Amino acid sequence: MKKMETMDGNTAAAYVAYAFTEVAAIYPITPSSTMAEMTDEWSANGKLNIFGQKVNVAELQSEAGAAGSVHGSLSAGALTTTFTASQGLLLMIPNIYKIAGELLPGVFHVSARAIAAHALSIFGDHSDVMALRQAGAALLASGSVQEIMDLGSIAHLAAIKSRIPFVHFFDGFRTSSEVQKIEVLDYNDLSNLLDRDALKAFRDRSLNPERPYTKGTAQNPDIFFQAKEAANKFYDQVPQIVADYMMQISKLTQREYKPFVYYGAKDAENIIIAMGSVTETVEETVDYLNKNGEKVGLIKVHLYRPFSSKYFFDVFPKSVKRIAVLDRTKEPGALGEPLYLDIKTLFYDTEKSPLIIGGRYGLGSKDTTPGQIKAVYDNLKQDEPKNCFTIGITDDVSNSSLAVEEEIVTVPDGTIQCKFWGLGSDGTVGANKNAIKIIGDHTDMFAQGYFAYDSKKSGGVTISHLRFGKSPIRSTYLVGYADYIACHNQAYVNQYNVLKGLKKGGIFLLNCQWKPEELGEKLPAFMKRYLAEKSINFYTINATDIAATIGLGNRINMICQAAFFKLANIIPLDDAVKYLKKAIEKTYGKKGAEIVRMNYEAVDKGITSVVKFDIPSDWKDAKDFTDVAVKEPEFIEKILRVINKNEGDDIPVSAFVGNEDGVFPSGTAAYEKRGVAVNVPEWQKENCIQCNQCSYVCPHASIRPFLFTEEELKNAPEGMEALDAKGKGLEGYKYKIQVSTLDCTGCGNCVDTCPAKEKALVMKPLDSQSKEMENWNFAVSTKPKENLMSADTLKGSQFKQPLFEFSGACAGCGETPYAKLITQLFGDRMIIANATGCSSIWGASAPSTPYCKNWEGKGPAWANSLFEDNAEYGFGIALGIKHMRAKLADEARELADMNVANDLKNALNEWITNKDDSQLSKDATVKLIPLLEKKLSDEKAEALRKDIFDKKDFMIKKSIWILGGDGWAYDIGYGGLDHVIASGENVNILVFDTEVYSNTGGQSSKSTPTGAVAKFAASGKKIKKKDLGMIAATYGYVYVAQIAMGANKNQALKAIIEAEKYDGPSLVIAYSPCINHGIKIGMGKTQYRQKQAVDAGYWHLYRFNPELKKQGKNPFILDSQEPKESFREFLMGEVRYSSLTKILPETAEELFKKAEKEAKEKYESYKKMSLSET
Amino acid sequence: MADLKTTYMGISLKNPIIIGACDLISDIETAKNIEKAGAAAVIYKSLFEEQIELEDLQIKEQIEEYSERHAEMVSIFPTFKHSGPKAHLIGLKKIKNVLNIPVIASLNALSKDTWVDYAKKIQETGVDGIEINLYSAPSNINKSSSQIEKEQLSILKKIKKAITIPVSVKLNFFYSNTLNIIHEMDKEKINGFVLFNRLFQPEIDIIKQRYFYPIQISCQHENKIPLRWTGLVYGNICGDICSSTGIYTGSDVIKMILAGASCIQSVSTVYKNGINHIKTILRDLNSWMDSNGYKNISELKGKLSKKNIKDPHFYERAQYINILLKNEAIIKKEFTR
Repeated sequence: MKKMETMDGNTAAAYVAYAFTEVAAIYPITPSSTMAEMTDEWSANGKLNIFGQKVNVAELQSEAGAAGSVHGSLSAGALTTTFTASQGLLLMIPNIYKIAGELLPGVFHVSARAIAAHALSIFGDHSDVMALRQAGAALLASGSVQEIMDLGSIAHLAAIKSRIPFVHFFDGFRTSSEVQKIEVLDYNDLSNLLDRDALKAFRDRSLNPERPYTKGTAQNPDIFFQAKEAANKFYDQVPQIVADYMMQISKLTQREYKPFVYYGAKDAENIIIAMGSVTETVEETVDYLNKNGEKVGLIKVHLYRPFSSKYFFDVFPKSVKRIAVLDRTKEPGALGEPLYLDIKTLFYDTEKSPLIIGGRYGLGSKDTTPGQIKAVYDNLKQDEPKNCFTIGITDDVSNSSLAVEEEIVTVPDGTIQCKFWGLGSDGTVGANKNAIKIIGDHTDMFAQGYFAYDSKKSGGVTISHLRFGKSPIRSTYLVGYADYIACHNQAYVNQYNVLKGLKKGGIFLLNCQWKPEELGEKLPAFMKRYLAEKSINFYTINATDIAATIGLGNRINMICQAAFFKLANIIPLDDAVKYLKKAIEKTYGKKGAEIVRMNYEAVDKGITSVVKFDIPSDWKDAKDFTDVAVKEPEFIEKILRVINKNEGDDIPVSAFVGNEDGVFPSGTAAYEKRGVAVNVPEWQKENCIQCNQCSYVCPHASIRPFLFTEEELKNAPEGMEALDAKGKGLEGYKYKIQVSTLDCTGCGNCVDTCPAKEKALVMKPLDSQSKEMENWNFAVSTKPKENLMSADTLKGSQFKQPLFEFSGACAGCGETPYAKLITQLFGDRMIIANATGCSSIWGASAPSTPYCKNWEGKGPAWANSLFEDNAEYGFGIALGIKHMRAKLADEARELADMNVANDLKNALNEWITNKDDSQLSKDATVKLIPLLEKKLSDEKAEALRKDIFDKKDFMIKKSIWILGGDGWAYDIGYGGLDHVIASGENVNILVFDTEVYSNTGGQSSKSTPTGAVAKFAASGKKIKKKDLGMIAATYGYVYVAQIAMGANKNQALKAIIEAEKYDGPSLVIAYSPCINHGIKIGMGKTQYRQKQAVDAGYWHLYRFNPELKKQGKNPFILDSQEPKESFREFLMGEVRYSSLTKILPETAEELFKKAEKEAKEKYESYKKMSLSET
Repeated sequence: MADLKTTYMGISLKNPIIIGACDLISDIETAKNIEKAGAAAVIYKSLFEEQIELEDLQIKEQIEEYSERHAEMVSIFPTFKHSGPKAHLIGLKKIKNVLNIPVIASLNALSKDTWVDYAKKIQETGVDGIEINLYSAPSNINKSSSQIEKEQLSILKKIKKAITIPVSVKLNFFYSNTLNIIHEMDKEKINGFVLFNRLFQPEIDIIKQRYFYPIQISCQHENKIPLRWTGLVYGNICGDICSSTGIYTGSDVIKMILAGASCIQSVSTVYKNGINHIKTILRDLNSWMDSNGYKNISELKGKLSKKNIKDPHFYERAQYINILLKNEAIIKKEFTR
């Protein structure tokens, strides 16, 4: 009896890996993290491997560390596995060489992902695994979730038997995250396949003082080469071993596996050779084409290294005349991509060598459709097929792309394809996963789900792609032709073409609060035309109101799911209702009759409340309402707008000409005006005390104080009100707090922070604030009054223009207010090196760039290198700038010494004297530049003048900032960070400390405190948080501060200013509440949580300023008061802690006590430091 | 000073004052103060299976609140499994370990298996007894009273079979024949009966036109209900009676004992008057017994129960009209005793 389950590729990989793994050394990286997370969870829950043991799981500080531990654990004789992708795999390469060189049977499961180059991509391609080709590991490719289950086990079995480490890879996201109904292999069956003699031999070869040996010697030219060649026989045996295991797995599963598998017409003339998930799409296309009279085929590559010509030619049809090789990687400058070159080599010097061409596809998860595959076969039919082609893009620069004549429908008859548009975290994805499970578990149908997400973390869209059918689903591409489309958010009808791809006569369900008679007015014309022209069966449901009425709040998922079952008619409705209610009973049965009733009612209402809308015939002629055209910058028009409409796939290569280096313009986020908030703050001017704290804490820079002159206000929109500005230096100005309502995410921290007796801000529905955007546009059109008040004060800092605005960060983000503040203080002369992580995602998710320019066109220059190297990257920037400025200073001195006019001489000298002072260098530069614009008569002087003038952008002292999260600073980048601060170089490091790897989904870091629950610390972190600040302070010459803006705004400001001013390395660690904390009072209180953290003695504020030491003072200032609130109550305010009391109450008690003790000890030690004599 | 000792569920108590199940008992210091104030036993707050299930649901909702919003953050917490009654049992054990007076656990479960499973786990904590809180508000109109009673008896039978510590039942009085169900339970060798469980009742706010559950502590006048049923039950069963609901003062305690209670449970009076009010109740009880010449509890226990009074219909009168129709003299006599 086959055991069928619905699962994604990562789960399948983790499942088979667990069977054969004794030790797993892990580190999170998207999209592989879930494999490690599941292994950790299963181990914590006592799951046993085939040896009857729990897997011993250890998280390391980086993938390099994980690989080192894999190497060590294997050397000690334990079967060891790891999971990784992309940059992570690259960090493992040195150890993979070692592991292979020492013939150790480690296994690396890789959800293959693009490598960051011109840009970061978390999505899938083979760039990472292709970088491993010569490392010595076997490379085994799976193309589907089922193949991962089947071949993943072979990676382990063959590694043990062959002594060669295996890298088992599959496409990141496309396969790693695709949900499929698959057969699950039994651990007993897998255990029976294990070569126990080989295992014993492996253990017998382990490092052990009972039978000592030495390995890892240093070898000279005399023997290194020969010793390396001695291992050839092990590689020679691999294909046979793999083929044997494939045969055994084939027997077990009735699914045929070989190192190379041929699919298609026996007498095919034109074939494709490929590996990975695309092979599924190619198979589907082959069936379609052959059914339509063609003779085409496919060779799927499973065992890529060692590459066996024997097994290749075993399956290669003799009829083949032309071959197109598809590579999912790009090797710039090469004759072709790796698989293509391998195939060419295979046929070199053979008789009747076929014509072989190669092409690239699917980079960074670019969708590869049957239409594109058909284009490849069509290209092969040409007299002179295009070589080195691309598919899936329009390359109008190198003209490499193959045109897709037509998109074809290749899914087997009876396959139902569905697409769902939802709002992030609205339950749509979860409900769809449930629908797949229901259909998968209760019927013999196959089901597939793939889920696409927005790059925004607030108000982002999700698109679920579901397929159901009687035969296994091989469509490894997005749903292009849908039978059913549901849109669960009415706002999307104007933002996206949600109907794109809906078949003629297809079903469209719109969840909306609009009455039928309002639809004509609410729906855009292009949508109305589509509905009418394609005879769409259009239904609406008001799930939002139904959910509220039956007590489910905003949970619309069950209602929409029931509506889907009714309309899509995939299984009989009665059965669907039965299964849904059974699932409800199972999930909620014990949770009370009321909850069951509500969900039952949701199902019933979902079925009975769908309303069929008869499309008026005149909708065919619906006319577009055209706004008055506003000319926008070309980038906005041609790139940002297109991407934000979810149509970025249509952008041609030429759009990036001029920006081939990955450079994007600053400040594009301001054009988005997403309007994602439900409620936004409304200024109550009569209550306002003009403190500017609302602006200070705003994570999205969408609420700001403005100062206007009376003159300016004459042009203000009608009804816009302002107060007489209060404060020294502001006399005669008018003051207004202005909200950019369409940029606000509605978190409410501004309202919560407002200290006025009667709140000067009140949250109001977004719809009620339509006038405010006009006011905003006016306010930002006036010149900022930045210098009326010192920016060293909280209030004054907020009159400075934020040069970081409207990012896609979560509503209430604890990180972004710090980033915004530093741009207000230093943005016009700032360079940012940003570690990969949340801050690089909200900092630069294309096409949205929140770092922007001021009215002079100046602003932060922002760049991201990698995750692990950020401190070094920033250090390098500092070195480069330093070098350029030193040269500039030399030249300036030389010119000043020459016979030039006195005004120029004086200006040069002034700049030379003040070049290292931020304000004075600015002042001197302003004076100097006009003088340098004038040509000099002396030839030598003129040459120097020109050189200096060319370097004018280096004149103002730069403020170098190195930003990143705790995963970077405490773990993977710590070595670099330590080295950089030790260097004494003048760089400023700001750590957004969320105490967890936020961006990759909440894995424990060394910043995670005792007792916190996180992934890889599912039973609560057992050891205390690393005190990064104190480690740095031991150098004595590093400025160190811990801040929490919401607890002490002035201390945060002071620390940041001191850090920047300090002529040496500085490290500011900023407490940053995050969605990963599970803040029970909500993300609208993240600033307040910072106060609570400090009041409870959970987070301590201090500054360690080496300048004070120079003045004979104690450099350490403790800014935290004695804790006055309950530490335990603080912990209980967050799910990351409180959940432990429900999961492991005994452990919780023990760890919370320990955490409190540690916090108290830490405070006492800080106190002692602050009181000590210098 | 009279001897206040009594026995409940076969457990010797130094006096008849038990502090009923409430949050006060979950805090160690408060529990110690309650003991110090003179309480003879405490009932640890109820272990509600429904609460565990709801907590489980709540955790699930909390950890999934931000799931499925970004490709890298499909989930942000590991998958959790609620530990079930573990946290409750740890708290219970702690209280048992710090108090010298008997600690009785309280349990309300949903499924038969859980009733027994949890009862066993409770026994393992070393508590002196277990109070089965048979709270439920039937909402299924098709379910008959006999079905419900049958299920309850079956649960009690299983629990009695599974554990060795004394078992009491805390009932509400909404049975067709409360006497009969107590009798049937008594046959299952239930060691004590708590009369009664006082349920929170729903309320409707007519201004806002919405329903809500107000926090309502019991009122003194409500103690007439347990008084009636204590008087009716006393002498008819083997198990001990513990009167509960609206017992605020020493006088209330005396009345309940006269009606037949071995002891009483109080909660509201402690919330309202403070822990030291226990001392006042005990002082008043002592002083009344001394002034009325009672040397020990057994002398007054059940003295005014149905079994021991002259008017056989006294405890059965339920309508005002009936009272008017009775012989004035009898009424006068009974009310002026």
